[in-house]
Amino acid sequence: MSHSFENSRVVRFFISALLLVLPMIVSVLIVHLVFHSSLSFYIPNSGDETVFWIDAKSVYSVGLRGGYSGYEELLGAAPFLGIGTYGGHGFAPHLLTKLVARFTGFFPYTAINIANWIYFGLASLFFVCSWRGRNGSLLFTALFLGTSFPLLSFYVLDWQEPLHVAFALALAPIFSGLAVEDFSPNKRWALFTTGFILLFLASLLRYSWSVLYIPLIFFMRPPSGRNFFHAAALGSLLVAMSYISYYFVAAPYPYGEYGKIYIEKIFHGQMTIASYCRYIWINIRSMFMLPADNPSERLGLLVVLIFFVCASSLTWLRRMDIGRLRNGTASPVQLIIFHVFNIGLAIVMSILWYTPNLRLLAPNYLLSVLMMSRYLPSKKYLLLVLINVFLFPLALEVHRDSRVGSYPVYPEYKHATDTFNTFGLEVSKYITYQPGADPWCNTILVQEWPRELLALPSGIATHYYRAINKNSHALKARYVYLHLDNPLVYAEISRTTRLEPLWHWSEGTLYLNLDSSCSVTSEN
Amino acid sequence: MMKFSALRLPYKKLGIFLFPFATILIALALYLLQPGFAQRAWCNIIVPMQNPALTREYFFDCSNVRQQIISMENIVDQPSDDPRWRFFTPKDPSKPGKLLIWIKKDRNKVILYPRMSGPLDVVTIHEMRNHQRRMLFFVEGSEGRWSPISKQYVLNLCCVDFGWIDEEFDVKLTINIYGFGQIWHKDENIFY
Repeated sequence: MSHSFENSRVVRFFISALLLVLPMIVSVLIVHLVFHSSLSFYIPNSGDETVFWIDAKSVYSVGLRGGYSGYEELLGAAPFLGIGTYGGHGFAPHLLTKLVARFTGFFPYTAINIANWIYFGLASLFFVCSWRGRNGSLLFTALFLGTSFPLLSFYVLDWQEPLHVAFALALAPIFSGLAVEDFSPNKRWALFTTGFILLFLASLLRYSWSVLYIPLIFFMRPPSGRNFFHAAALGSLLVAMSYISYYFVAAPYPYGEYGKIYIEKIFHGQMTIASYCRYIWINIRSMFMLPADNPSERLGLLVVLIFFVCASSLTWLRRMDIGRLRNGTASPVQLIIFHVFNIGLAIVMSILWYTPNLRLLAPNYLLSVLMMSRYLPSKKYLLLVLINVFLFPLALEVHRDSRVGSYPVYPEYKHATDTFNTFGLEVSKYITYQPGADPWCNTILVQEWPRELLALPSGIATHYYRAINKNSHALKARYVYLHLDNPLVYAEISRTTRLEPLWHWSEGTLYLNLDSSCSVTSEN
Repeated sequence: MMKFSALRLPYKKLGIFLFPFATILIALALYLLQPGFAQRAWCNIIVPMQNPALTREYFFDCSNVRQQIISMENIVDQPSDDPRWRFFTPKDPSKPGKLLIWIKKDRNKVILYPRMSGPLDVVTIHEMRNHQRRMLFFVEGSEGRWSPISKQYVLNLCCVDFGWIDEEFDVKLTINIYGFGQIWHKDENIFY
């Protein structure tokens, strides 16, 4: 590219503007032209989104003194700390939403999306202000982000996925600054501190971010085996602390138990070493298959995997070019370690503990791509943009099929929200938030999350009990809501717990748990 | 010990980017060569933006589309001025009227006759499968006037799941009618 293009401030301004607005424009166009809806007609759709919204509303209205939103009556340190629980996601994303909603208001049902967009915008702004790459590299970022954003759009506008993309975007200039720039020690410490704070926040949302403490610490020291050992030891301590704070405080979620149930369900039997090995093999194999119904997701995963191999091998093979181009202190070994911890470890963990998933790996992919485009600039990265463009049509198909309920046409939105409001008005005659009471008094037990629960009074949490058939004690939640009056679930619950019907709704029945300690208190 | 500069030459000749990027290109080619890719791309990007209204305004005499209404919810069947034709409309306009229909996918396009009186009158058609639904058709009314009787609208049946396959198969569709919207039919045949 010409010298004037690469260095022009006017060009940089327009590219920065493009980077800031392109993801928003693409998202708005998809929602308007493909869904015939509007960003403001968003309704949480799946069970996860519904409970996420209920918890966000609770944190916004009553702080951390809501009910116990969670699973299997697992509470972690919440009773000791005197706070409620906030599902598998923890309370951190809801605190971030609350921070923005204090200024913007808490709009049903778009408050989370608005907050996410603001954080994403701030991260983009931070990126364009602190990215020291030339205009060509900034343009690549704008195009890569604009074209990959729709691919990540499975949950891109809501939930907490935009926050993770925002963290990746904000962390990119920090890691690249430490690796490539010849900054003064003070500036390096400032970058390190900013990176540390961002990783701390990101780890509260998803603790896998915490593994990046290790390369962050390693970048601060000259490359040597001894320094890597120190960085790994200190970083591992921070990773462990992140895990403990996440698992016991932010989100006490029975990952192990649910994983076991999940694998048992797949293999119709007991959880054994053999079945776990088969599970890992299925996960590995799935990354290399292109199923007809969703090939874009798998090909996206394959691209991430190939990119990881490329990033590590090319960094080593072109180590002399890196040495000539950069002024910074990071060595090729440190850069490879960065990719291994950022993306390699995420791939391995997703195979061992979860399911390889583009949604989860995308922020790490973005961070590695930006990092590499900075220390090893090349126009060949535009191939990644081209791949995004080719993946777009079929990714959009998945997006359309799964998100049509989230962005309904206006009459459907109006009818649905009117129904929720009616439910909310009626249910609030029987359920009221009790400030200062035991959180179980502000908790309703559910076996699924129908969308009318979105209108529960603020501060009331939904609690899920999966193994209700194995339960041998009286349930603790004050209320029970049985969607569609499932007689099997009613029979299972009433084995151990006395229920009194409070209110019949067209879609289910609300019960008072007579064995809850709160019910005794209120009857007295 | 060999110098790095000496090592770099063969790498450059081989093309360091060649292997990984060639792998990506092969995977991409396999992806693009999948059957139905072009049609699916067209269905996902172009069709949702197209206006389904045709310029033609006349009724077909009969239909050879194999179809059957499975169930109705909040729907009333009203007579029209034309004794051969009737229309479905919501019984209570504040709630959506729903029609669940079975149709044989043996062609790429079918014609239907919705009518709307204003922007709040909307007709949508979704393909229903398992727990997912795919929007195939959307039309809303214009401000302050009824759309013409017998105006033809097109539904792209080829955009259902696996619609690119040149075989006959059954599809379940849900028609949602909002407000005072109407779906005209003759002998309960909606698609022509």
